[in-house]
Amino acid sequence: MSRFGAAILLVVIHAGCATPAGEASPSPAAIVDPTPLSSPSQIPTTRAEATPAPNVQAGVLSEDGFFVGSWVSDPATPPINAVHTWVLHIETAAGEPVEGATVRLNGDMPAHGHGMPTQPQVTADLGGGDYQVEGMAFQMGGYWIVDVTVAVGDRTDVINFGLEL
Amino acid sequence: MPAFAPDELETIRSLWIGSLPALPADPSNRVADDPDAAALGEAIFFDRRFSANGQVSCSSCHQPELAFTDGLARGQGIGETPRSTMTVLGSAYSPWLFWDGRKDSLWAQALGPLENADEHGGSRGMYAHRMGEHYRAEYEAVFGPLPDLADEDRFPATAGPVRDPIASANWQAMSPSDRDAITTVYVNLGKAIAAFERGLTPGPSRLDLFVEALLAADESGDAGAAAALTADELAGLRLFIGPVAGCTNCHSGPLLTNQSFHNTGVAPMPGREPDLGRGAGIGLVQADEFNCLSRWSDADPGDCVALRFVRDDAEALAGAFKPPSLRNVAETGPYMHAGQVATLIDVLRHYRAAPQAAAGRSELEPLDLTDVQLAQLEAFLRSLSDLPIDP
Repeated sequence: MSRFGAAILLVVIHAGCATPAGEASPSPAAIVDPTPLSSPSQIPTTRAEATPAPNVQAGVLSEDGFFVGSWVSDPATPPINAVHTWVLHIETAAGEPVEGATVRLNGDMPAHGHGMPTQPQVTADLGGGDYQVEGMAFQMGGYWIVDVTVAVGDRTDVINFGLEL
Repeated sequence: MPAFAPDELETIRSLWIGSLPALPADPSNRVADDPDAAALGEAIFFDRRFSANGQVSCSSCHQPELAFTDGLARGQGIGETPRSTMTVLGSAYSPWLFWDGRKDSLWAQALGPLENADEHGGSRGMYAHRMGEHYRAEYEAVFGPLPDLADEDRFPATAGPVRDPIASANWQAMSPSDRDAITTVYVNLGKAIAAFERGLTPGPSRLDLFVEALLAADESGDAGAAAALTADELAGLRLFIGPVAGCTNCHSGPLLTNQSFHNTGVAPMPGREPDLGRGAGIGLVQADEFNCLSRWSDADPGDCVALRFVRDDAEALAGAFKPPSLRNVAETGPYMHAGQVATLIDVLRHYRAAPQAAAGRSELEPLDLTDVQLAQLEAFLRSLSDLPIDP
């Protein structure tokens, strides 16, 4: 999904569509202010953007505002040209761990028009909102966008992480 | 000599042969580090009897004096191949072999040309017989007993899943267990060749002498650095690591390749269909009889990381090829996947012009480089050849 397309989708969703009964979901005002959170320390520090700021590794809000994500890499700094593993942590905007989601991940270098040399896959649902992703690989330094699609229940959203390697 | 910025020094150091890590393990080949297997593999590498006409050895195309290439646009075995011979030097560091990465280990790669009708033109049944005729003792010392090849009904002179109709018919007529016995010998042959090839790595070049002098960072270091590279070569190095040319986007690290697949818009041979490269290679390696996940591999599936997480987007990788190592590039022309680009200056002009790709989408953008700068880049590339070894 292109960054531009995602921005358009965000505007359309919040242009007055009805909220399904019985479901907590972000109000139209969430486009600017996140839903009030149970714990102030869990307030997302970064909004979804078309070009996510590089090297913000935690508190990244998804495009439609449903999820907040963070990642850690093993080794801690993603190496160039070596296959390695990430652990993603995914919570709702309200700060609750998202368990049992279907998670897919891709990486792209917008300036170079190509993606990763591998197809990373979630190989373990570690529980507590943690997902192990193997097969991460970056074949060159520069600015990367890693997009993580999270689908749980009938909700799907995308978290975009920026990296400057 | 003007100083380098810290990030330039870091890049230069990453190109240095001293930055080459230890040889990666090959869990798919249980004899990868066995010296006796390597000795057997070396003997066979140079043995022309391992071919249908007795005239083709691995070294026919992988000639040591030409950095293990052949100086031709496309390989010439029994017939002409559609692609250019790649060097063997440093190939132990490549997770994918061939321009399209259709093999995921050195031993699986070695088995490709042996049964290819245009290269060695043989069959695995024939090679088992050759092994018994010429290397029985060496083979059995490493791998245990050969099958009883004397029975020509069970083990015909030629047999294999190859294009030759006689060998193919013979193969079909064999029992499954006899076929497995022959394939076992064939796989062992590949693993022995791979054990030899693992030891083939590039040697230091004048670039490496330059980096070592630079790292010495003292009075004598400066003089050493100035002696290692000429002014033009040094200017070429700055361009090579710089943002205008962007060479290190793909030609990075001590082997000057990032080992993955890139589309650089190289035109197909005239009158031929565009070569899909990795776009087709993905499916080939996933289906390969001898890949890391196959029963002939000695690896646990958990070891097969590259294959398990292979990027399988054939559309995005259409027309993409593996950047060869640039070490010894002066000796490995003609260039590109079918030898379409004759000389180094032609290569540099190609990158400057950045033509559209015939298949897929080129990653290149036109470069703002003068003719003098291209000549400096060429001079730098020529400094990447192995230094002669003192007798």
